[in-house]
Amino acid sequence: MTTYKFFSDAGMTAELTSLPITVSTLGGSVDGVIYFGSPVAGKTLQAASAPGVDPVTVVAADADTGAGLAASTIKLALSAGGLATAVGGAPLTLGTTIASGAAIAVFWRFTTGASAAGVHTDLSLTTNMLVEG
Amino acid sequence: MDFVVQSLAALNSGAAAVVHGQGGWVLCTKTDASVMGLQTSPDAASWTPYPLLGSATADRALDAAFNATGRCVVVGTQGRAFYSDDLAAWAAVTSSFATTGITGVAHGNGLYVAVGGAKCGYSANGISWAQRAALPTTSAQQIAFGDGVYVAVGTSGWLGRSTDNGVSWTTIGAGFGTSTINNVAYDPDTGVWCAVGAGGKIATSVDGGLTWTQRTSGTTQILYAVACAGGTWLVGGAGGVVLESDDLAAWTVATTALGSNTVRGIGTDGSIFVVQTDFAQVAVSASPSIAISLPVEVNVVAPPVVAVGIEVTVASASIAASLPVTVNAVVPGAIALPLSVRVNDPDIYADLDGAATWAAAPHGRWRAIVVLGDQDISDRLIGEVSVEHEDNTAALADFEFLPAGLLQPASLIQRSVRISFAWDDGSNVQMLFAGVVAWPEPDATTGAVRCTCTNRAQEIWAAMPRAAIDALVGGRYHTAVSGERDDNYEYLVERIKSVGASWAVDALLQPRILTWQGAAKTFTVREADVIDGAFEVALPDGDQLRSRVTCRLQHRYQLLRGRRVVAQYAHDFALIRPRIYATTNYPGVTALTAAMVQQACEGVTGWTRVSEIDIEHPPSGAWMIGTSETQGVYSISPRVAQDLALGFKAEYAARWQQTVTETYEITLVWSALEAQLGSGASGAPEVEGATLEAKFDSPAWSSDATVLPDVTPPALGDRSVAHQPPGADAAARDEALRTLLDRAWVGMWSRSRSGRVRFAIPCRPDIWLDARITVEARRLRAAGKVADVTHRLDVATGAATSYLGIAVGMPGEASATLPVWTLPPAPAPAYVPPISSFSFEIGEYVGGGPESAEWDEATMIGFSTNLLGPSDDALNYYPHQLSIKAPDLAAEDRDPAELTAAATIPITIPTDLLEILP
Repeated sequence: MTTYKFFSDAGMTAELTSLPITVSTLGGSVDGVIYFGSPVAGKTLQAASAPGVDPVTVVAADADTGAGLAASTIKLALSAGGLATAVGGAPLTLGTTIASGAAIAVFWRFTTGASAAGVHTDLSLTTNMLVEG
Repeated sequence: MDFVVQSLAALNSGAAAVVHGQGGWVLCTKTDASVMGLQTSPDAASWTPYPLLGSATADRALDAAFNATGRCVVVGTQGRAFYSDDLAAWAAVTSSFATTGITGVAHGNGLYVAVGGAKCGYSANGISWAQRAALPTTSAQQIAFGDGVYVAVGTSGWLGRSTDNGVSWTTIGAGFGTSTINNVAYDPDTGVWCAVGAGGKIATSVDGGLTWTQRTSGTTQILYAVACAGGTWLVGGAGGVVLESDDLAAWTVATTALGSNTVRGIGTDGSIFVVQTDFAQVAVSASPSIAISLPVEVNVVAPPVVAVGIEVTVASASIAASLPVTVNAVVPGAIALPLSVRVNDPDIYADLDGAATWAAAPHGRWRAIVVLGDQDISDRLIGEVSVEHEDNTAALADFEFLPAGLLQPASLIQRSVRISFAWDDGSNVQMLFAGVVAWPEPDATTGAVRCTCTNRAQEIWAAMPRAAIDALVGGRYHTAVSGERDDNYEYLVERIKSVGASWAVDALLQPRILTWQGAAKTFTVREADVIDGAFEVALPDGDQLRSRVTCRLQHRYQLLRGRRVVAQYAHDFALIRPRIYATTNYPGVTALTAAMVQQACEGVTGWTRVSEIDIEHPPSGAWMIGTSETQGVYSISPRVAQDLALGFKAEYAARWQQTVTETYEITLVWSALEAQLGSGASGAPEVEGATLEAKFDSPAWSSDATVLPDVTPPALGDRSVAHQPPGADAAARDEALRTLLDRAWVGMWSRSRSGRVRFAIPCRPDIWLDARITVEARRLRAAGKVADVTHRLDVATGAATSYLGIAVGMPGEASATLPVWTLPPAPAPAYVPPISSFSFEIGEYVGGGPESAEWDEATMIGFSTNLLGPSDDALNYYPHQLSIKAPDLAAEDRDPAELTAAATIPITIPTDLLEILP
């Protein structure tokens, strides 16, 4: 069971199990920041495909590509300024080895056009396959 | 499940258990063919043997347990026990088991508890051991701890449960019959217990070991070991059987890599399993590959319709001029004062005329007694003697006399004076005044001297201790409202503004506080008592009346602010690594170097770095550029890898001061007055203002991070400390506000009772400012406290008159008390810094490509590089550099902040009896 998780605070005390976003039916953008890491000392996280070589990435995933919202509605960056040039739906590289103890700030921007009122749960932020050591 | 099998040369058939704890792994075994010992490893990859005994014996280690701080206790045959705090240095201890083999040990509830045979021992530190009572079995095998419960197992299907750390045991039927139960384990994530034993039997419990359910393992081999990690259970035993299950119901073969060697121990660190067999084997499971996912829930909602009302407040320019400030805004327009007119039957007046029972002197004649210094000059008085008392004013007296001899008029100044009135026969003396001569005026023609005297009331109050004033007056005083008052008389004047009362000094020179409601004496004056039956009525001045007063307090202080931000950047190794994929050539780029990162991170100005610069280097190694070595190999040596960077992270902090002014505006509304006077009374409200300011006198704080208070946030974000020392804190602010409100309420009352009913009566020297008089006349009914009284006596005739003025106000005759104020909450800033305030700007710009834009140094902040390969004049190339830009402090964070809290409080004010009769 991995100790790496998403958190709402940089101190990694409040684990996120869902990222709620509220937008108007008129559409618009919402910015936010979440934190990724492990509060447990002495842990590392690497890509399972090639540990230490391939990057650990986070990407918006769409569980229902035929309906709901598209993954491209979410941009990710390591800085707030980076959101301006980030590509919607593109994976964000966090590094090749993520050491525990310090959270990585993941800045996100959700952008959508006008839509009907409702709740969409088809999107998620997902890492690539990883190995915790 | 994939396992990597290792053969350990020094491990032999003594294997018994695998345990993980803080510091690493422990295999309980023999270190060679005949010496009891261990194999330890920090990572389950490389193992180090540790002999526990120095010479060959048949003994072996059987089990181990860690406490929370990493102390490992190993137990074994012949009652042997050892401990270590570092898995390297081991010390033998006396176990209390004598020569009974200790087959199992566990740690929980702050104790090590071990079992072996029929014995159960315990130790708090792993060094000093003692025995519990004998177990209800003769051959315990193993013990485990979970959620406050110890579970031990043994031969003949025995399973015992203890909730008191092994003091007592309850035998539980676990369905093993007479089969030996070899091992038991607990999963803290799910609370499930699992026991294994002979015949391939497996039993589980989900209620803390109270009841057990037999499972079908699919094997009849003896099971010796059991462990759980990440929801997966692993059991092992004879014949090299290793089974796994995620639900404890269905068991499948986990691996066959161990051949037929008997599995003796299975351990886990919560992530991987380590399996130990009899024959020099250790199998380590591969780390599970995981993906971490965070669901995103998007809620699309219709935007609310927000109607914004626009309220334009035109304030008097003088209101904003300075604070503290009191602005008397004149209410425009005419103010009508309606009066209550009652038509009475003429018969009721019959009792008024001549019905009073005044204690008049015989024949209405009085005489004055004046003592000047220590001389009674009553016989030398001429003209008129008068004594005048008025609320909030020093008393005055006036008399004229003919000196008995030569007199220096100036010598009379400050000479003491006492004045009394008595009946003309000398009886019934009533003292009216004590004081000093202030102004002697000699008459050069007659030789008489006129003396004007004062009772020095202000000096008397000034000499009174402040604590005594507080006790006498009550009310509130705050320097933010009244300023610093060194003079105690001025202090009295400020303090009494919050109390419905007046001050005076009586005929005995005693300081007195005279409340406007209630009185020491009450009188009724009827028309026949009044000289000439004449009453003079002055109504409250409409220009002075206020139905609304706004109290405005500004609380100004320094907000000591701190912010922690992050500079972080990372890119894929693939960006710098050249490769050929299919027919496409990815040339890679000139790599970011660690030196560039260091230079950029150390060159930040205006921010203090509060973390190490964490640089991630690319891996060292060699990679084929294409599908074969003939297409080239890209390699990075370990030394070069340390000079390059794939990404970095550093955190910075800044501290600064922001001036915050919280403005509290509370408007008191006297609706009853507005109802009487009409809307005109609700014009521009009077404003009572005050400022409470906290100075922060530490100029070095902003530039020196060691100067307290420390406002550096522990993690990304903001932290603020409001500098509000005692006297300028929230409690002081509330007290100042309540002082303002009290004064405003009293002020409205004071203005409403500014009317006067005046009349003269035959002398009543006993009437003073502490009296309340009700007037019952043909045309007037009124009641109020005496606001001023003057007693005059004609020395020649003995005729004396008392002139009275009683304070009357708005009609209604309703009582009211000072409200208990409910203050508005402190205003909160509406501005929330955007997330861009907490991160550096670090982009990525690759030149030399067909889509590379023209270089713009001003906007292309971050890592800029170029694709490798020959240059092409048609392409744009960038400097190989790293620039990072710290976030700016927004004006809302930096500039003085104005926060406002407003409230309106309806009030009632005491009103009086005042009726004009037709």
